[in-house]
Amino acid sequence: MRIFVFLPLLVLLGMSLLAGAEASASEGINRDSLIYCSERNISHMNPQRHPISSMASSISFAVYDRLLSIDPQTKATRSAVGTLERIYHNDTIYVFDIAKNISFHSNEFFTPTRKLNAEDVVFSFDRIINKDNPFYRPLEDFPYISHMDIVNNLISVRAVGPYKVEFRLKQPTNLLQSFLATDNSVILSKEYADTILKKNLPKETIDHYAIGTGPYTQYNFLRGRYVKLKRFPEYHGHRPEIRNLILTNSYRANKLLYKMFTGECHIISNPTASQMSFLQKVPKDFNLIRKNTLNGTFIIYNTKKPYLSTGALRRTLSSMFSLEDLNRSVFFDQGHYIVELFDEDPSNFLKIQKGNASASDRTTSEKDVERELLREADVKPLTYEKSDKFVNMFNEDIPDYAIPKKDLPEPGHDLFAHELSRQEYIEAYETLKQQELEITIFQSNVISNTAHSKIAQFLKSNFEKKGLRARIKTYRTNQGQNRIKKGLFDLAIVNVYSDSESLIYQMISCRQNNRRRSSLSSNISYTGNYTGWCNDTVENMYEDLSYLDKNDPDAIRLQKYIMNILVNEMPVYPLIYNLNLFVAMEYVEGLEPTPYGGVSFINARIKHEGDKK
Amino acid sequence: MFDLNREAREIQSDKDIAWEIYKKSTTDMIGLYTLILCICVIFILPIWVNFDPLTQNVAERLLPPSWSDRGNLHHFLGTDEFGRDFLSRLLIGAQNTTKYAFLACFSSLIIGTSLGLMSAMSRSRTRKGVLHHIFDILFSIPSILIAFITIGILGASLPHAALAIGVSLLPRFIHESYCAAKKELEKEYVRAEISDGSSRLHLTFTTILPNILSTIISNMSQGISIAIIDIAAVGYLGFGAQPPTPELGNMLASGIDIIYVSTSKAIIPGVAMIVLIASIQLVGHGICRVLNTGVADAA
Amino acid sequence: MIDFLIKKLELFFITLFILTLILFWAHIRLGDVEINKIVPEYIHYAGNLVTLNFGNSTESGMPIIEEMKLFFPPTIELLLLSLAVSFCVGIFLGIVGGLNHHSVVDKFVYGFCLLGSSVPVYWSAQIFILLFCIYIKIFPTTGNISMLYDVPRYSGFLVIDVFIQGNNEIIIDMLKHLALPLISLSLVPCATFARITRRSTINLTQNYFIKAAYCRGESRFDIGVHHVLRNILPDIVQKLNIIICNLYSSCILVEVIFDWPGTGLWITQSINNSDGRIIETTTFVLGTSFLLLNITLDILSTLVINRTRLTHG
Repeated sequence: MRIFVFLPLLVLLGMSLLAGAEASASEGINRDSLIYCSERNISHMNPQRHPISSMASSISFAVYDRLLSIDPQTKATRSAVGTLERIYHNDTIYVFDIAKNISFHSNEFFTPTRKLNAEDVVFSFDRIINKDNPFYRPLEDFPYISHMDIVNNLISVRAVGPYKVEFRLKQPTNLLQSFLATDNSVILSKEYADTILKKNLPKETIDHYAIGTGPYTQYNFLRGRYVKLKRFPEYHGHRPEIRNLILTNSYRANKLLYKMFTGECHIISNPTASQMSFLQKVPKDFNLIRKNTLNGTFIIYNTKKPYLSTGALRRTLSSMFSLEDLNRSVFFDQGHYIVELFDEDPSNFLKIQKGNASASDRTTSEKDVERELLREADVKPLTYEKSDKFVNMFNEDIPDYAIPKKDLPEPGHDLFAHELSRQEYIEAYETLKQQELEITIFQSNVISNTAHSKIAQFLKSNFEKKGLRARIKTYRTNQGQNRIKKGLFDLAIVNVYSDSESLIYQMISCRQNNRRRSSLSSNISYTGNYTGWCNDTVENMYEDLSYLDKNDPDAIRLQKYIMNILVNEMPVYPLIYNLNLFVAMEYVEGLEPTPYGGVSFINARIKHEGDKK
Repeated sequence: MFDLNREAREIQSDKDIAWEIYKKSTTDMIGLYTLILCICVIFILPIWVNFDPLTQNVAERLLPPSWSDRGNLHHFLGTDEFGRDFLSRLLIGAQNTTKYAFLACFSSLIIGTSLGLMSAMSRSRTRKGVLHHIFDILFSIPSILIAFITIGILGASLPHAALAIGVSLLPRFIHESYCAAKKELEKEYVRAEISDGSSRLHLTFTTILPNILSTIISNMSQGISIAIIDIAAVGYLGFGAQPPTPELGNMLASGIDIIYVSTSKAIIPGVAMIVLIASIQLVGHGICRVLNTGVADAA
Repeated sequence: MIDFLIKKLELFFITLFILTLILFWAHIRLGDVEINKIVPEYIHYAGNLVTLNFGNSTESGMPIIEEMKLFFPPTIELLLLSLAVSFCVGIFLGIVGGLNHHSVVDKFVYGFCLLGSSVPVYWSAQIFILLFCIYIKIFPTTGNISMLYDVPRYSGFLVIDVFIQGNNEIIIDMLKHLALPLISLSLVPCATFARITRRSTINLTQNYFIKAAYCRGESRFDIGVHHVLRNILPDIVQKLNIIICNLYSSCILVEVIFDWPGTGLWITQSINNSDGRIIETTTFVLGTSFLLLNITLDILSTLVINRTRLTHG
């Protein structure tokens, strides 16, 4: 009896569900709203508290403004809210003019009574450097400052007029402007900070409920899940067309692609390698937008361990597997070789001798070949000194900031990397065979880390095929950082997220990062030199490189020197990099990548079929 | 004259009677055969055939199962993204999961049942209450959370996951054995035995235990299925066996990651798990039925 | 009756005490507590927990209570709805199967019970996503409502809020998002309920009064509702406890897979971020609620069993 009541109800329910069936795929086409899905967690609304990542950059461009910006073509800094007025005293005092008539957002517990002025800029940077600022946090809570020790160098930031800000530095540097132009260096509101203090709210409110000057204002934030942004009517720049912007993330990376297919996301960031290989077979509906950053994977060797202490040992270990196989199995042929960025051939990068020719014959003919190839009259092997300022990364901090210059090889002296002879190779192999190697990987919920686990499995299997023993150890991010700092690893697989120039530099730089860890924090990038190896000559070469243009013949020469030193010593072995990219639905246009890997929605719009008329 | 048939039937042993009763249900027989097949294939076959779940062969990666076009009979179920043979991984993985699940369930069963029996048999109320409810805390925390906490403290690996799941199964065994023993204790023949003067220990082993055997076995089959699913769940989240060790859970996870490129790798471990657990449940159900009917007939 | 209740309450408080001890131990391991001031620290800590003064999260510094208010209601919604659905459907199937023992319907129900309890929920959820979201594009994959809609918070429970708001599009959208998680979550308890009900019904139909009712001419439907249902309820209530605990475990997994904004996702994210305060607080809240549930169900089952015992004489 009751069946006759329930059954029709069920049928009705089913029909109503299926009635909206086709809508699901095209649901998202609502001219006013755009959904951006990222692989990275949204933990705070203040990009200062994020490492350099696509989410931080996207939030920064949507909700905030920065003092300076970066020109996408020339990569030089140019003005945004602030304009450089003068530099005094040999690069130690910078004065900026602040633009007028920029309004702040308002939210449920704060309404601004004035527009942006110098006080706000001062506050935004003062909270990073000044311990007496009530919003001060220790440095590891600002993870984007990891590879710039600008903060040590800044003495003070102060306002020297209602619209003038002065930065005072200890040592002269040309890095201040690029620091201020980083996507994460945003401008907060001092009035908001004062209101928080007055109303006795927890201090983290400033990082949780964002007040900025950007084109969108926050009106709903669920930590770790999504943030909903609404267009800010009083924005000082170009009014964006999209009214509602939703930034969200997924717990599991493979969801991102599903959401594209069902229309729940319009733009996704960094799909995995298998998803990319799939997307290339699926036609038409997607646009790929390249970001300006890369995601590079390295193996770092602990040069303090006796069985990894010489360059020969490390090179032999690196030769135990093939980069092509790695690319194919882990990255589905979607990755690129890092060494190609520096004009090296990945199959010959390690320069290990093949064949059974005797040592002495090889050396002479080798020189001849080099001579012929380089067509230089005078060919000398590179001599670079092992630095006496060798820094032990694991125990103490470098007290000095600047390293005195040493002489660089002059033009006309070329160099070659010492090719590893068969004898050395076999000796190294014997030493390695006696030790069980420990491959360390770190786990966090960033997409790239299932790749790390796969790389570790690949390495282990290849080592075992060649007769070496290996085991894999996985650590959570916090524990892992500790172990790496204390040097408790043999080789570790790490990920570096940056633009191409500084990709290798961060891993072998001598400059210490002042990262002392507090008890619990996460999502720290692994930039930093944990190999226990560094070299002054290389350091100076990089510093010279930073002043030269990329296409300058001197720059090319320096780059070659650096590569050859690296091949000789191999403290890190560069593996694969992935181009970071966005995949957007074809009806979304006007997305612009930001300098540090995010996307800016100011000019975004949704194209409808009706527009073709 | 003598009825030889009847006499032949009367001297049937208990085991034969049990087998007869078990055979009556076809589904249970199917379950039994499947389970025996699974156990042979998972545990006994690897002793003779050399399965190799760890060797990578990048040239032959991502082959589909041999019954599809590009398949290779050498790799019967295809290969994963590293070129490791999928059939080997499946069998060795199932072996790992089942081994530890069985271990966890069995030890939990023994500890749980003894605690439950002790609490049912004890005369003092406080001891009864304490033993019965001591692990209720674990009852109220979901098993996944217990697994998280244990692994957070001890580190991620398969034995730790098994420990966590064993711990989470404990309260259920205590409760069930307590309830079953309680029910037995109220029956008249037990009361008769008590008034006869048998000690509690003797009572437990000769009377109570055999009679709650059917509950224990049905619990055990339930427990093993839950243990397998939970250990695989912990493995799926990445907290169990670490790669490259194969295990049903982390094979499911890696299969789902590459599902765009090769769907079979995600579906096959799931189907394998369903078959395994369904057969365990059928066998448990059959044994339960045998013991119940036997008891009813005898009574 | 009263001392029964008192016993149960005693039990509750003792277990609560042990729970706070365990959490305090975890707190010591995760944070820094001075060793010589353990007892006053413990009293302070336990006091805070019990008065629901949870403090701030280590990761974001915002008060945990606010986040709890956001994350608990979706889980409770999902749990209650899935329990209701699996209860109704499971009992219905079980009675139908049990009353028609030895027929095709029964075999079908039995097969469903078997399959339903052997399928791992995380796998079936993924397969459902593939099937229904990618190949046949009916349902959306994640979340409990589309990001494009804003539903004002009247009660915190999305289902109620959406109906209060009354916009048809939003209601349909919410139902579409609800469908898949509900189905994947309800599969296992449904099979469990069906199994228990079927077993009890089969046992019950051996009794003479059922056969007498058949002879009297009562329709099978009436027998099912009037006689069978009341008599099998005690068995079901006994197992309800375990079923709900397992349901919550599966709920955590389902929430992670479907990105359902509930406690499952929150806990997993906190564990990934090593947010000690949140883990302790959620363990406390979950533990206490399940303890309370335990005790309520205990009392309920004793009442139900006693009453049926009374009616049967």
